[in-house]
Amino acid sequence: MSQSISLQSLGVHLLRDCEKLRACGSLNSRTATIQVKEITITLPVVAADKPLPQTIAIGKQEGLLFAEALQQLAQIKDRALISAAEIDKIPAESISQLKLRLRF
Amino acid sequence: MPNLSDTLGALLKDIAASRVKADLFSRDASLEYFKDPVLRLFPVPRVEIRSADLELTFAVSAARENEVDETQIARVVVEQSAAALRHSLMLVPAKPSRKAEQLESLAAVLQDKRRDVEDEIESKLNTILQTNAATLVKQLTTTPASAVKTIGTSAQRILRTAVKEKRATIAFTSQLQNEVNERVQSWAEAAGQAIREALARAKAEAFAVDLAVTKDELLNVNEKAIARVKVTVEIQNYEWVESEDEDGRSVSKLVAV
Repeated sequence: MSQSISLQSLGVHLLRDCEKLRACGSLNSRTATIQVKEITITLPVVAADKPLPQTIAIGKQEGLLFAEALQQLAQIKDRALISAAEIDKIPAESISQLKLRLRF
Repeated sequence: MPNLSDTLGALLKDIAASRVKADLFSRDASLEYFKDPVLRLFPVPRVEIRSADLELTFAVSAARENEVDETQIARVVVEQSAAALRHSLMLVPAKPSRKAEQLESLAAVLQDKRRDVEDEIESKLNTILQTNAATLVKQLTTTPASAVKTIGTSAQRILRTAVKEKRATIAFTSQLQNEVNERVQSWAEAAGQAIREALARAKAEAFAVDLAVTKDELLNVNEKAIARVKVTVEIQNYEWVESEDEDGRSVSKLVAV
């Protein structure tokens, strides 16, 4: 049974995960040695009907802060199939790439 | 199942650890160079990792998105914050009579009627929640000002009733009405924010993605279903510097270079 997932929820989930990763590097700044500068996620999805938005770019250099990014994601109403098993059954031309780029 | 941040975090930790190992090697090498009269003239080799790009392939094995009962979550938040509204309203400056010059808190003016009024405010809020929760939640999360109309008007009506039925001596001035509205407005904004945060948390918890990241897990995944994540990191270097604290004592500090 195919199960489509809200792209908004997926985006928020990935965004929070990236923020968590960045925060790990920034904790106790004196001892942190790794600073995450940029994260780009490219995820194959099969959108229900409409084409996907362009790259969702987030970060100070993109003029979009974390809270604003969440608001932007809230505008996405589409749902999509994202699990590998489901995408495997879909013809390649119907697969889109969800691209999320964060710059810190 | 690992998530992206755990998987990438472990890899990034390894990059930092490799840099530490390289520095330890350089330390040992520098001692050897120091002992040798010829090597002493040579620079000690040192690996400098300034930045790194990391690319990881993964696949989504499963994704789950459970339903979130937004109204129920918001209702709990409103119920939890009802006490704050009651408390805030009881601190509204009020006059015991129109002729009185001194302002006192509503709680002080109401005296033994205070509890009854507080109960009525809570009861009214519960009634609104039970009969029209969805509308109130929408108002609180999108247009708190419209919630003020609903709740503020009710609060004022309750106070008027308290004055009338319980014969509490209180001057119902326009200033008091404005104060009530302002406090309801502050509460509505705070409650709206709290509801939005609670909903975001609930939605995050209701959503889960299981990832396949190991070679074995990815072995049978079709190339077209493979996802990628690229992370660019910089390694922040620190060095120990000696300085003095406020009492002139020598202290060692790690400073970014």
